[in-house]
Amino acid sequence: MPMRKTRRTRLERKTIKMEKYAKPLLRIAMSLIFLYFGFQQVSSPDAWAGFVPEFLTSAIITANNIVIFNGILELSLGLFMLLGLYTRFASLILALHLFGIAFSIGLNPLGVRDFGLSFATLVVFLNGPDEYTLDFKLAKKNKKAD
Amino acid sequence: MKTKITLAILIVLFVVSFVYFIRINQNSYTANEDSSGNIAGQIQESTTSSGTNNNTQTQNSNNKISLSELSKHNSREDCWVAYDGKVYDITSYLPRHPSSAGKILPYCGSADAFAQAFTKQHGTSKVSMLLKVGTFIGDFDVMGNIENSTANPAYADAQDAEDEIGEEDD
Repeated sequence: MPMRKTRRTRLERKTIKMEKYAKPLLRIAMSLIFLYFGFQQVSSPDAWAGFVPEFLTSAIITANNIVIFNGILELSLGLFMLLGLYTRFASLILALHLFGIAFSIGLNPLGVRDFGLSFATLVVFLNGPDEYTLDFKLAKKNKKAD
Repeated sequence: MKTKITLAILIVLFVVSFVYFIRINQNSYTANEDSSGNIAGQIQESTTSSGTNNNTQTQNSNNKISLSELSKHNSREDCWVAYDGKVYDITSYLPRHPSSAGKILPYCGSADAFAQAFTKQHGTSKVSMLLKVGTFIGDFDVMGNIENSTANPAYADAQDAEDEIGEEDD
């Protein structure tokens, strides 16, 4: 006996059409978050130096230097993720980095937010490169060339 | 593969040069600020121009703050610190400190301890910020502190004991 197709509502039908945008949307949104915070750290490291754990600082490496270095890392990997270049690698590093920050902050609103964001970044890692990434485009190009 | 590596290197180079450009710009801005009258001077101007503010630099330049006076201001509601021979009121900045006010609170009312912790955490990069956010109170009276140390109770007791011994000898 043939299975009867379930009727889908109009909204459901439209949503299914937009499913393909879910992965790139999450990737772009997450990368914009990292780019924003990376830029903030680079432009005003003073405001972030207070978050650096004391054991990381020394006479040569000040908290400000660590913040600037962290900003460069977040900007670079954020751009990688935005363009979809080494998507899995960039998102995994950023997710682990954010996990570390979330744990060091502890159980407070900021820590919980970072914990959620790190999981969202981890989802980007698990999704891998979507069809709008450079990874995908370059792989496709290489396949054609072969 | 080569294309990807090249692109990755280009992105990293772009970010590093972008950051370098931002830092250079900010440093030159700070240098301009210093050359057109240092920040302490700006605080002086701002405080002297507002007649209602009693913490004027001109008044306070003669105002010597002793360690005993400084140590009275050691709470969240009243936090003074000494840095580089000058005393600043940073009470209003405490709630705005990025990590928490609790990081500065232990050093309220202190001189050397604050300076050491401040330098350890920030080096010299945040000195200008300290001058901006802190209200200048007066000069830290190091000599006065040394003299006052003779007036501490333990020292006074020792002096009394010596005097009594002297009187008995007479």
